[in-house]
Amino acid sequence: MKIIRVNMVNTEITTEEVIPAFTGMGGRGLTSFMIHQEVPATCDPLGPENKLIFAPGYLSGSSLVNSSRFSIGAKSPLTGGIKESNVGGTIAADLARTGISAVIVEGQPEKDQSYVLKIDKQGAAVLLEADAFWGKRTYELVAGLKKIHGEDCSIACIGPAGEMQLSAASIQCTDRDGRPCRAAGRGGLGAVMGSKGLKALVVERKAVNAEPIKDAAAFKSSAKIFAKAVLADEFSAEILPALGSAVLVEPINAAGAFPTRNARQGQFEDADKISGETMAKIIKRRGGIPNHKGCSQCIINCSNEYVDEQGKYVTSSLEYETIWSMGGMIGNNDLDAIARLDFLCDDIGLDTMSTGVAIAVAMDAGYKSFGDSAAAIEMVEAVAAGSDFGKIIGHGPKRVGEHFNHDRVPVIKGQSIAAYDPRTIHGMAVTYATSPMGGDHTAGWVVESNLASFGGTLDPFSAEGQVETSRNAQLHMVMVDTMGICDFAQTGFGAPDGLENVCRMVVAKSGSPFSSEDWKTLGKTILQTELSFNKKAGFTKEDDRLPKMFYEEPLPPHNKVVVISDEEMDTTFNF
Amino acid sequence: MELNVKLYGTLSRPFDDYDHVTGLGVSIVQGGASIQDLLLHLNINPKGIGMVFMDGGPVKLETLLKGGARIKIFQPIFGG
Repeated sequence: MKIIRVNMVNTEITTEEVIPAFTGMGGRGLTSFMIHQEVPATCDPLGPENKLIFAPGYLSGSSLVNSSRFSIGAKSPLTGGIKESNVGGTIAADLARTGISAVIVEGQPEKDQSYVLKIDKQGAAVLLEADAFWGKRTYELVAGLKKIHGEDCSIACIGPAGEMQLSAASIQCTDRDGRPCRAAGRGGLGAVMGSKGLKALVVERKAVNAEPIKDAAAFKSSAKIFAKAVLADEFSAEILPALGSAVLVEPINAAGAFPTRNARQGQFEDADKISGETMAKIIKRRGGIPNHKGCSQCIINCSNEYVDEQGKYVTSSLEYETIWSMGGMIGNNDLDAIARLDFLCDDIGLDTMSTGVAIAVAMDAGYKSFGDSAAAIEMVEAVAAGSDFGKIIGHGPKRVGEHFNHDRVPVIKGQSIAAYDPRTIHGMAVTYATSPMGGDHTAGWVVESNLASFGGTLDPFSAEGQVETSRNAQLHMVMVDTMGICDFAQTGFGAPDGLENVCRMVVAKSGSPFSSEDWKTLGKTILQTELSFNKKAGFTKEDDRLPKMFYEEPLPPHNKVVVISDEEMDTTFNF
Repeated sequence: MELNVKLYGTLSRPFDDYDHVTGLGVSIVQGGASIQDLLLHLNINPKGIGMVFMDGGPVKLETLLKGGARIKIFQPIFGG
């Protein structure tokens, strides 16, 4: 396993072998182990001691479906803790096919120096001066980079928000159509990339130097079983291609768990205007693409191309969390405005969730009215303009709350919640509070366990069983992110012996034993490593708490608050 | 009894004129009919169903239908 180390001080690039302890690792496991080992936990996230690490999942670049997931790790300027931000598109598969398992970007150049890091099909890397690209938004940037490097490349890049080192800055990655519309949004890693003076990572596509699979026949057999299970599941085979993740709007809203107007209500009265059903209908009528293939190796096609009344491209892909953050959370029922906000965030390089919640907090504080979509667009444009208030928005909800001296700020460890209110789905309260990543839904999505009609057995308003359920989900997800498997392709685990089948692929690739027990043990080790980093960074149990609004304000329509005690919360990682 | 039924996800596919805003108007003549009977009437396999709401509240397959009720039927979800 090879890694590329890029020194931004002297522009020296070295290629080295992964140390034996990290062999057989990829994605989140690799980034988190490396950060724990190489980054001082108390360092300034935007200073020279922090490192930005790109790593394809362990199974990325292989023939496994839905395996082009890219882990980007660093100490987060948003949370102050360890961060792995996960993104799809094409770059994970393409980097893995060059034979590179990770790229470590370290140090900091002299002020005003900026670079593009190019990796060719042979896995050779070079730093190119990028002064001409500094200041560009991502769509224009990508168009410019393709003129130089050709169409056949995958790109991870930052926009103005990353350059300004704002805490909600994303790293945007290109999709199969070459658009920078896939976001490693969470944790403000775009700001870390900006602090390194790195405008873009460009990887040539179609390399054939992937690390060899030791037993190709066995791998192929298990990969086929996995794909068959993905295609046999109604959710991944029919529902997601039809409506995308936006299918969640209506059921989560009906359950009263759709945080609305800065989480003052659990239901948005205009949910039907921004639902997946409505979105699919609009896209079809206007001639857009409701079932778009956004990522390499994808057989689900949950992406879409949202177009305007003239059939002109607006954004891709309009997804559930953005429809929530730029819709219900700010009281906005205008799907066209949501699509515009999604595009602007991608173009400026902003996390749609942190930005939407930042706007919601500003509206809640009385700066503008809920539902004022024009004001929301102005606030996002203000970020790109670099105005004082724009920078406050671009730093995320916590900074906005401080600015207005407003304490209704739904963040944990500085990072906003996602589109599931923890008062209505208590399992999500545990995940938000305890994940080393801060408020994060993908770290341990336990919605289905909390809703009886989806087969769940837990009372969503009770603490009972929630800690254990979240713990198990977090242990599983850390491994899914390490392998580089798409969250939605987890239906592939529904195959007979689903987990064992995935483990057989790890064995086939590495040539070393790897059982379902090893899966669990490694998951535990990675989580412990992340928790250890956070502890060294100064985190205490008090950081594993939700904002008081969730404990004190009953959420309509169920009028419940979070009832999980601090003591119970603190047992989450009692492995 | 008359019911208003909204179908989510891909459940509305078999109904050509289905309108997401207005939903389906459904007449059930059978007395003591349940949600399960409604699904049968609509030719929807209960195994492919997630949450069902009647007049805003979650209900089970065996819950009896109420005349004039607004029913929302969802498919199972998975997320992240």
